[in-house]
Amino acid sequence: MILTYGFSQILKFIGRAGANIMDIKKVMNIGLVLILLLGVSIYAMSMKNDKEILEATLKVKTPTIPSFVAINNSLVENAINRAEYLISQAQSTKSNDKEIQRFLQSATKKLETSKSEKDPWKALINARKASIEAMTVIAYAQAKEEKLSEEDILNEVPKWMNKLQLLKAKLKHNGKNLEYSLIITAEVERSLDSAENWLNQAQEILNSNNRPKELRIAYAMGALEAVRGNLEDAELLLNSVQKDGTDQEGIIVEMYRKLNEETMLKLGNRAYPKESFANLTFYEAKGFLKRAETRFNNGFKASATIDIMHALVLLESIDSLSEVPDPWYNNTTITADDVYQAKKQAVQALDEAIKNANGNELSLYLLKFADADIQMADSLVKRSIDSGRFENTESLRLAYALYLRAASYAKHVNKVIELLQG
Amino acid sequence: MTHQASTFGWSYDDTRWSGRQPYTPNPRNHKITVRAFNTPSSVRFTDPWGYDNSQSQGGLPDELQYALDVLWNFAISHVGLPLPSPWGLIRLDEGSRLEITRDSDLKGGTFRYNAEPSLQGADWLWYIDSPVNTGWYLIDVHALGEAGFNYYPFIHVDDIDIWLFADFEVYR
Repeated sequence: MILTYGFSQILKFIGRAGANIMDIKKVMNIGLVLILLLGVSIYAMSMKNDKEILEATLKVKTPTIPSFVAINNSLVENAINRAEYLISQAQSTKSNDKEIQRFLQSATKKLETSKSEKDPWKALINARKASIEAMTVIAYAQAKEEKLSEEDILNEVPKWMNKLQLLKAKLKHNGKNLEYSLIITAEVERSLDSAENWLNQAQEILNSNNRPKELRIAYAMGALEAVRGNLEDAELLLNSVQKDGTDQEGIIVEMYRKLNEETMLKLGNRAYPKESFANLTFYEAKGFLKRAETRFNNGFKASATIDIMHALVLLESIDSLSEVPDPWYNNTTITADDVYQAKKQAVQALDEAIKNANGNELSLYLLKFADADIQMADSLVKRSIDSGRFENTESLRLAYALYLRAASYAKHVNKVIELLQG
Repeated sequence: MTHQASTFGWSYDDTRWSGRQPYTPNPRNHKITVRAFNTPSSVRFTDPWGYDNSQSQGGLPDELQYALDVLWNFAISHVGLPLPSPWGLIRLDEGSRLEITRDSDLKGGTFRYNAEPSLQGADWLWYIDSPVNTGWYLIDVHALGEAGFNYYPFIHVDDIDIWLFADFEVYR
C-alpha cells in the first residue's frame, strides 16, 4: 500500500521533471531515488512474513536414510491383531472413569495410525502402544471389580523374567559382516533392555506411588503388556539374524573398550556455560555414557557400543553449539528466519554425511540420531505455526537448537568410523 | 517429545437462573498445576502457553478437547450448575490475564488465570532428555478453582478440584 503510494508520487514527480528536461541533475537524482525505491520494494517483497518462513522451513525436505533392520510382516500383523483384540475387550468393560476412558480413545487412535503407517517399525510401535493402553483399561476394570489383585501381578513376574533370561542366553553376535551384526544385535538388546525396564517398573508401580490401588494395578498390567511386546520383538529379530557368519562378540567388546577410552579422554574436565545448548548436549552425552556402562555390565554389549558412539559424536559436536542458546536458560530472540537457516544447515549436513557414508551401514545407522533431532524440530515448528505464534517461542528456540545439533552431529559422525578403522 | 493439554474454568451467563438464584462462579484463583513425579528419564516441562475463551471452535489439540470434555462432564455431574455449552477455545492475544510460572527444576509449572470465568486451557510439551528410557512417565495435573452463588442467600459450592493423570508411555 505504502509502496504503491510512493511509486505514484515518484511517477508524478518524473512527469513534472520531464517537463524541464534540461535539468539533468534533477533527473539523475530522481533516477537514484527510483533505484533506491526499487531496491527497497524488492527487499520488502522478498521479506516473507514469519508464518511463511516457518512453513517454508517445514518444506525443506530431509533426506531419507535407508533402514537395515527389516522386520517381519507377520510380526506387525500379529501386533495389530493383538491390539485389536485387547481394544475390543477394553470396550466391553463398563468403566465410567474418564481418566481410563482417555486411554481407550488413545489406544483406538494408535491402532488406526498403525494400520495406515507405511514404515513397518512405526506401525509395530503404535500397535504395541495401543495394546499397552488397552490392557491398562481392562486391568483397571478388573481391579475395580476385585477380579485382579496386586498379588496376581507379582505372580506373573517370574514367568516373564524366565523368558527374558532365556532370550538373553540365546543372544548371538552373528551377521554377514561386523557392522550388520553390531546393528541387529543392538536392536535385539534394545528390546530386551526395554523389557527388563518395564518388568522392574511393573513391580515398582505397585508400591511406590500415591495413586489409587486400581490405577496402580492397571499401570502394572500395562507394563507387563509392554514386556510381552518387547520380548516378542526381541525373539523375532533374533531369529532373523543370519545363522551363518562368524561370531563378532569379541570384536564388539574390543570396539566398546576402545571407544570408551576415547570418550573418557574427550570428557576430561570440560564445562560449558549453563546458558548454552552445548551444556545440555554435554549432559546428554554423559547420559549416553552412563547408560552404555549399565548396558554393558548387563550383558548388552552391542547396544552399549552404539550408546558410546552417540556419546562420542555428541562430544565431538559440542564446540559448535556453545553459541547456541539453551532454550530453558536463555532468552536470546530466535527469529523465524534463524530457524529456517538452521534447518537448511541441518539438511545440507545430513545430505553430505549420507553421501560421505558411501553405503557404510554403521554411519547411516548412527545418522538416524541426527534425523530424529530434525524430525523433532520439525514437529516443534509445526506446533508454533498451529498455535499462531511465529517468533521466539520456546518451541522455536528448541527447534533451532536441535537443527543445529543435527547439523553438527552429521558433520562429526565420521569420527567414530575413523577411530574404528585407525 | 510428548504433547499434553488441560483446560479449566467455564463460561456462564448471568441471566441464567438456577432455581430462583442467579449464580456467579467465583472467577478468581483458577489454577492448573502440572508436575512430573515419577519418570524413567529426566523430563522438562516446555513451551507452556494458555488458551482463553472464544465462541468459535478453534483448531484445538485433541488432548485439550479431551480435557475440556472431562471438565464439562465433571461440572455437569457433580456441580449441577446450568452451564452453557462449552465453546471452543482460542489463543489469548495478550499474556496479561494468564500467569505461567515454571518450577526451577523444569519438571512442572503452574498456570494461574485471573480472568473472569471462561473456558481456559493450558498446553505444554514434555521434552525427554536423551537417552530416552522406556516405561510409564507419570504426570499429575491438578486443576483448582472456586465456584459459588454470590447473591443472597449465599451458597458456597466447594472448590472444584480435579486431578488428571496425564501419563504417557515410551515403549521402546
